[in-house]
Amino acid sequence: MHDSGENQLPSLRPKRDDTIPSGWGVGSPNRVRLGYAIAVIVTGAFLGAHLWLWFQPGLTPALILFLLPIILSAYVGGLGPGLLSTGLAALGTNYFLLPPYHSFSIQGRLHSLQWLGLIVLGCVVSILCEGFQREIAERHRIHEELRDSEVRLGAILGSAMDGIISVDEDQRITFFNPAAEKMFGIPASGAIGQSLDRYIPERFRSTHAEHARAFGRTHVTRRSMGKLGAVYGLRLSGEEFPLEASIAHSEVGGKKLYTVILRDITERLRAEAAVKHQAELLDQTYDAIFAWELAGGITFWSRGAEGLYGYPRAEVLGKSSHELLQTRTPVGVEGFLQALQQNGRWEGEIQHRTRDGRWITGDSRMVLISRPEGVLVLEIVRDVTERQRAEAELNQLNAELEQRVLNRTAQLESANKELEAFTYSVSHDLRAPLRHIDGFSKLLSEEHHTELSPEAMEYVGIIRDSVRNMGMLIDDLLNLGRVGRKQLSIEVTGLNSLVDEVIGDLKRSNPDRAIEWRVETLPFVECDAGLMRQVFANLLSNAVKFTRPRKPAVIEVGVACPDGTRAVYVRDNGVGFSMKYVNKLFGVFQRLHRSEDFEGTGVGLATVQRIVHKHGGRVWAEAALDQGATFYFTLEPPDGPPPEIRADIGGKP
Amino acid sequence: MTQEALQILLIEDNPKDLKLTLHALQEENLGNSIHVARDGEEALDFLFCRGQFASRSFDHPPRLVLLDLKLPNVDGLEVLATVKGDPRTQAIPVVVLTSSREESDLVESYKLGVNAYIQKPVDFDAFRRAVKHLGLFWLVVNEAPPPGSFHPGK
Repeated sequence: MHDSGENQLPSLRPKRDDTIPSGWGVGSPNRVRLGYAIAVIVTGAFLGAHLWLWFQPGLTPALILFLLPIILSAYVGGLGPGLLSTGLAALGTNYFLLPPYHSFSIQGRLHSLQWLGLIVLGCVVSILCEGFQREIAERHRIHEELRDSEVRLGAILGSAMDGIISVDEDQRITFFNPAAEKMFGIPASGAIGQSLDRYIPERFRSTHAEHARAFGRTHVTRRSMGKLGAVYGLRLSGEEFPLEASIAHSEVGGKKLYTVILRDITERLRAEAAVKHQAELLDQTYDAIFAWELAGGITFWSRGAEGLYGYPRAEVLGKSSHELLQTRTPVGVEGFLQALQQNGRWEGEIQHRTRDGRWITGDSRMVLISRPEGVLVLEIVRDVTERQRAEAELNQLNAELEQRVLNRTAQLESANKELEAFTYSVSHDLRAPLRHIDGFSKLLSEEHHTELSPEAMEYVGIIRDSVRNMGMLIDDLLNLGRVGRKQLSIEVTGLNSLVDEVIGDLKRSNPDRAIEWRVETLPFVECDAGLMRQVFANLLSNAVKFTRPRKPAVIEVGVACPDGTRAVYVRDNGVGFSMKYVNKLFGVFQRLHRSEDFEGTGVGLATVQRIVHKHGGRVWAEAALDQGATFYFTLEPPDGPPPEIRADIGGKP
Repeated sequence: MTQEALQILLIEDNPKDLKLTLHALQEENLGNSIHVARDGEEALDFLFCRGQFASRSFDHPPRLVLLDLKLPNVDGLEVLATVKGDPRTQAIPVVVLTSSREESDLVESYKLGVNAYIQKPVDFDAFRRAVKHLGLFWLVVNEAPPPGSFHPGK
């Protein structure tokens, strides 16, 4: 319809005026037959009427009257009936009305001229009528065709998906098809006659009118407006929507007529945006995503693919991915193509060559997508080169680690055996001399008491006390050695009795020291009594040792909650230490004082820490140089709420 | 010391332990019927009547063997295994008297059929009490098998 600008579209409503049955149209056989009938009957009737009404021999007949039936016949039936009527009239008048009567000869020049004139006129009239009829018939045919065309066009315009609007030079709407009604939300009856501006967003109105006029001045009859930039329409609801438009202009009756064809592309833009968004999403992943036609080249190439293979998108489109990437799989290219066609998908390990010649290993997943344009394969490749390398490395490391563990286990087993031998030796050999000391001291005091002074007797007692202590210490040390391997022998223990025992030992071993002991009521706790005694023995002997310069030395044992947890503390007013070195305090063989000042092995606090940790507790210290030290420890069980410390059932004995 | 009078075989290598043990036994008037072996080999020679003890007879085994585990040459557990593994000597009561309180020693001794296991206490008074109880039980309270009942000839 683009080139049918000469049609005035608004007149397209069907107006059928079929008054003549199609079988009686000009030039139709029925009508010709009617013409012949009229020629015979009417010409005959004229002849009869003439004879009957005024025929008198000698009177000049009015031959001109016979033109009437001729004209009637020719008008109805065209040339044939006209000529028939002419012939009949000529023969009838010659025979009946012109002398000599009842013969076909003519007397007199005037009669002959008259008669010939009738024939000539009849022929002329017939020919003219025929021509006239032909023109009528042609016109009628053209009219019919035009009407059919309009009906067809109307159906097309009515059912078109695109909105079609015609406007005149003044931008008044002259045509508004159903799709336009739907698009703008207004019936054609409400739109026709109105200005087109109503359907253009306000900000575009002035430029639109300008463009339209400029376009009208050109000799271009069609133009697509979508290509000129964004075109928007305005619905009756006030909603704007994107359009794709083409415009045509034509002149009808000297007036310009513009027809625009509009397509609402809201959905298409949305779909395009969605596709673009999806493509962008695909671009977000590091996986290489690309698509190729089963029987052709690459049609999509994600940013991930660019990154992985090094080929820019523009370079690969249309190329065969297998040739480009030199695809290798365990099943071969034919193998996965076959699988794709059978199952619609294929997954497996694949090797591809990158643009710079490296081979990468990937996990490939392919999906067959059937589309009208052809079968497409979407392929997603995840680079596992690095992962595989890492896995191999990991496996090797694991193997090495396993070997190392085996070696270390062997070493540990060997060390354990040595330790057991040592422990056995300690348990057996260290005990023996103690037993001897005790035995002979006892014999000395029993069998030779008469020879010994009371003081000597007291010393013997001290010797035996110390031997007993050392025996216990040996047991504790052995226990400690087993701490790592064995479970603690937990029992409810009153800490005060342990502390008192330890203080008793210390008093005996330091009889010349003036020490003020301040022992609070300590709780009963669940602990390994032997080890806990060792904790106190270590902490309190340290306190005694490091308060040696003090007179009096003050040593306190109590319970405090320095950070919310109940902790037992041992505090002294000794020489203390600098907090700078507090992190070294609990290390084995770590000492913070010179051995000529304060003797010691540096094992004591390490032992304390091991025991406390074994109980699930914590040990720490606060001190300042020359201002004493405080050692705290807790005995929280590792699996639960506190404590450790049950009720103070015993109190201080 | 006649064979008939023999009551106790004391196997002990450490002279100080020996002295203390003998002292404790003498306090209980058991000192006169003791034979002392200073190592495992000597003890086995004595028990199996060989070497310097070839003149001894299996008919008169000691009523009690006090065995230290840590011995030179043949150690205590080996002596125990030999005694308890031989039908001629297996009936002789053997009491291990040792410094060791290692679990492995205890378990091994009982597996080999020891009759009692005593760890020597460090405290001499406790040690004396243990020796006294031992002597009383095995030499006075306990009934020994009839003389010669394990002779190989019978």
